[in-house]
Amino acid sequence: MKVAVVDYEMGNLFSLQNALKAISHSSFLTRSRKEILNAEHVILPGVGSAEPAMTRLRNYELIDALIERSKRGGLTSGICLGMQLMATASTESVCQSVQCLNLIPATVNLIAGARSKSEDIKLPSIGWYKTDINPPEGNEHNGWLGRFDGQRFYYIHSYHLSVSTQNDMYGSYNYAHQKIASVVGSGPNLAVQFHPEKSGATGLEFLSCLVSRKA
Amino acid sequence: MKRLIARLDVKGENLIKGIHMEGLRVIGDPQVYATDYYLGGADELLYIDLVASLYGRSNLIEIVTRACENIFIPLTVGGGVRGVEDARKLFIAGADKVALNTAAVANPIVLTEISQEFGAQCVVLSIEAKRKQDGCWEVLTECGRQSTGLEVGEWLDTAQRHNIGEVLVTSVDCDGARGGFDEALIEYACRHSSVPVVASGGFGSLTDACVAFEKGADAIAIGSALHFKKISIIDIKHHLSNEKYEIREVN
Repeated sequence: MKVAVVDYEMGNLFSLQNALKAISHSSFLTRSRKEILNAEHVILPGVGSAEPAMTRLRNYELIDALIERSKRGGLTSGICLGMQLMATASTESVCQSVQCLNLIPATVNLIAGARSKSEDIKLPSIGWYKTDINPPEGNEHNGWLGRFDGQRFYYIHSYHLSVSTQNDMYGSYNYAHQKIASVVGSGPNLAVQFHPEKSGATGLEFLSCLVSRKA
Repeated sequence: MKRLIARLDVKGENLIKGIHMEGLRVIGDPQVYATDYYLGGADELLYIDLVASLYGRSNLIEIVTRACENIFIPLTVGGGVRGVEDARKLFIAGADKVALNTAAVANPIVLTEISQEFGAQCVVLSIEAKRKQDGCWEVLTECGRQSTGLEVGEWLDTAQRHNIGEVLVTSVDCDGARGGFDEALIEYACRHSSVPVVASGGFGSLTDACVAFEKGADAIAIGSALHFKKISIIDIKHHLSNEKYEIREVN
């Protein structure tokens, strides 16, 4: 299966494509509305911050394509900043709230209680954290997602997602004395805060399940 | 949670190692060692080109490109990174973070420029610290070749006014000697930092790992102890686990 990776010039595309290759999936980079609408699976990657990311998506005319794809039930997976862009809005901006894709009702804010110069709580949160994954009962992802409960994945971020609907939160990890959203989903959209393409063998296995999931 | 980073100093296409950043000795093909460390349980890899700022060029892009083909853990890359365009080329090649020393000291605004373009979590401030007679530490640039007169704490305070994601502190005095970290330096740097700190320079025995973490480090970078096969990643991680540190276990 060919996986479409959205190329808006933000995100470690080379690593992601290599990771997909390592799990026997071919992939292609795309900025085409047609390809995004028609691909079997789309990954929205991302490294950086929300405001320039949304500006680039807008400039490349990809916002409508991604929203339309979601309306049609097309599977899309978000990674790291890609996850945050799937939220409703982000406060990661100098002046104002940044409107995002609203594919998963949620808001994005700075992890609270940090930057206090206390030893424990520094930002960004960087590390291989044990991730609790428990999709709600009856959720279609229960089967494969639950297998990764308790596994460690690599995180590097200062902003985090707060879902509007508790049922959309499938997984979390503990940092700065709070549960930080790790895996969230709504309809055909699923997103992860960690980097599966940088989380070793476990990450590759997760990535494989992520792109192979059915609607 | 603590991280163990395998550090690969490179020159041209070779993995090298020096002592106190001098007497650089060729060890072998960085890809062979990097793959070994990845499979052996390293949490991240750190590549530093020790002569890039001297020669004004480096093989880092080729080294990183090769690494990313079969290594799926984060890569931090440094040595001769001058600004946004150098960073961009390294990110395109697969690096996750770039480490800056010489260029940042010359013009700290470059830290903000790179973090604005790629996100603060991608920017690592690399500090090479040498003890002075008065007990403080001076920042050196050009891989230990150039004195700056800058005091480490003062430099950390200045640099953090720009948006950085992590600090890498290397003790020039302890580097390559495998005689232990400069504990006081680690403690000092951690006191002056609100971003994660990676301690580098001097790791030689299992207890050194605990010492660094006790002093506040979030990660340790290990070079010669691994390259010369004095100790293995799995042994270090077992020791840390036994000492109740949260660390990613090796299978």
